[in-house]
Amino acid sequence: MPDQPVLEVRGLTVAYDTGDHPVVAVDQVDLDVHPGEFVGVVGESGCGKSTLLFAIAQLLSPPAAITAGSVLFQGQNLVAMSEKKLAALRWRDFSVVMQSAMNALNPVMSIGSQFRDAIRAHDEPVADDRPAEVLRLVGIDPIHLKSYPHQLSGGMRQRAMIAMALLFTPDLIIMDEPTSALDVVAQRSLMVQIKELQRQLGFAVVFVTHDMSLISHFSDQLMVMYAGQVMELGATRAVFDHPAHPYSKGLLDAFPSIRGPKVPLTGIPGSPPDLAHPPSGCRFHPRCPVAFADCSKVEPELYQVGSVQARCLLHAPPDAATTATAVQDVTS
Amino acid sequence: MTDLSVEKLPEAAAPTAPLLETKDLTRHFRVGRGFSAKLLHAADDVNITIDQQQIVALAGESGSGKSTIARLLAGVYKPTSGEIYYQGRALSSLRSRRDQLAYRSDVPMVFQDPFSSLNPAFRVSHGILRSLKLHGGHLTREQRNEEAERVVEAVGLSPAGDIMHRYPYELSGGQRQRIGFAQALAHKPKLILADEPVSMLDVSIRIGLLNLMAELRSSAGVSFLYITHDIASARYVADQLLIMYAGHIVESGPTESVLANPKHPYTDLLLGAVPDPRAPLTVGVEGDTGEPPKVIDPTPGCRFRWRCPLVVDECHHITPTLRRLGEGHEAACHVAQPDPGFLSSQPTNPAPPKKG
Repeated sequence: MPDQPVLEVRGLTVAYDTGDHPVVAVDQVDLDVHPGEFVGVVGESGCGKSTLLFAIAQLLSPPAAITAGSVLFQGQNLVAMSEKKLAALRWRDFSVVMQSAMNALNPVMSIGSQFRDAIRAHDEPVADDRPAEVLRLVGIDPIHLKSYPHQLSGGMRQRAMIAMALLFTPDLIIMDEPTSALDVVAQRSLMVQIKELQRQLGFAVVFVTHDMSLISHFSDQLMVMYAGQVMELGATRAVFDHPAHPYSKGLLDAFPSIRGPKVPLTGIPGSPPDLAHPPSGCRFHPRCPVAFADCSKVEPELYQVGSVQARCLLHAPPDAATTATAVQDVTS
Repeated sequence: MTDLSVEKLPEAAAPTAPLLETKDLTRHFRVGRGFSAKLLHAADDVNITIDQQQIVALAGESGSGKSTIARLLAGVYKPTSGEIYYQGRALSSLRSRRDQLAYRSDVPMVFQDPFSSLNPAFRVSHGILRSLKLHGGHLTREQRNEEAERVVEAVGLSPAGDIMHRYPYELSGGQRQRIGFAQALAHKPKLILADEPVSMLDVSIRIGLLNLMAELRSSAGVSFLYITHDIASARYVADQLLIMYAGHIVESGPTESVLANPKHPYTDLLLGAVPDPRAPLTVGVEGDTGEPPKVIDPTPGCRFRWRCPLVVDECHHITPTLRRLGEGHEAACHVAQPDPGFLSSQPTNPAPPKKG
């Protein structure tokens, strides 16, 4: 069944229990990832992107906890799964590549022994030359199995992390800003490499980044997050060509172009809201250049806009907006 | 090297001397000990000129020697050879502490990581007031406070009085980096050395800081050396662009001219790496996985030759030097051709066409 999503996230909500005001960092996120698909998740720091990834991989630690929703991975609900079952699944069926390889790799163990560690933790039979093979896949000479993390450059370390994630040929790899510590050239070559591996091995990727331009050529689906909510979701090209949400447009206009006329840019003024006290109505309205009166009162839903979904009142169907206002009026 | 040295003024402090100029600036580091001691060439024969109110971008990959240049200019490292001239005066001639302090107050530095460059135990006013105390001895306490508030406002943080009393953890990354700029601004600098000031920040915040640099240039008359690996941001703010590779400046010129008409294959590579969603899809064409070499005890030859798609025989034997190939536009490459119609005024290429 090629159409069956490998990952189905439904209404996933994560809260940090901070006493009086539980901070909802991820608010009812729905996401489908199909086999072999590349899904980009973008947003500024503090938008809940990383929390979402951790929640999908069941890696949250207190005070963060999933308060609602489900994560169906190959039909099994990870949220309800026991730690033991999860441990068997992790790395074998889905793996995680962390942001900073320098911190994720053990500095006092060689790359090879860290690979063996991961293999030993699972009952899966693995060929002896598998570590060498995965290193070769990511373009590192297997001689580096004997190397320690500090002996590799930043780009090689990230590649080694990806090699490690490939040990059991998982169906899904979750990546949390794997390129943010690299310079543009290394970034570009790593992205090309990930895409190439994906073509060869057919795994799905969920890729988190704050740099929208980075994944423009690589991802199939794009999810724009702001203040814990999905702001826009759709085919990458569609979002880039016609961003339906002002926030997506803001992110898209935030970086200078290398070609074309030089235009003054403004970025997005202000900073993401404090999630303990999110703004009323649309969470983006205090920073939105096109906000109107309703935006501070009515909480928008995800509306279908052509082929994409956007959480913006500009796209609200006329009747829905009025009913929402009416409900708001009754309650207030 | 050749045509540059002919054109530039000697070190005599002529009124037209550039704000800062380096001449064959070189820094080597010793790696290893005893018989296995080797020399790492972090920067070799670097000539940079920065004029008043000019933003000069120095671009290159990690490990190309960009930060070494910034530290040499800041006086953190002493050059192995070569000289830095500030307003026509050689830095090595500044012996007294007063002169050195004066230079450092004129040429402060802004660091890459706003999370580790501010002391978490002190309020953000601490760093600003301290440098004011050090460099502005004649100011009274009230004047120092006023001055600190002025610079905090100048970098776009308000209300200044409130911000200054916060601790770094109470500020966002972008705000912290603005404090970094405020510290540098505190004693009316002439040139700010900004070492990757935006690369740790979110994309949406970067542009604000780039705009701040452009604004400070026009309002406070400051020049910038903007060190970056992101050519697109260099294009956005910089007048001059220098491309550095493995310790050498491989291309330099007016930003638009370098980007519109790159002469060095390495510049092409850097340009190709910039993600541009507005451009059509081009995945999988290039597969460059190389990295800049560590230049240890180098032999003659172009340092880019192992990654260069245009490599010719000459590249393996002769180190290319900067040649003038267009109006103010230079590149160090054997293969690069001058602009059509541009004739270099003097025979600049010292390299014979072929060896052996």
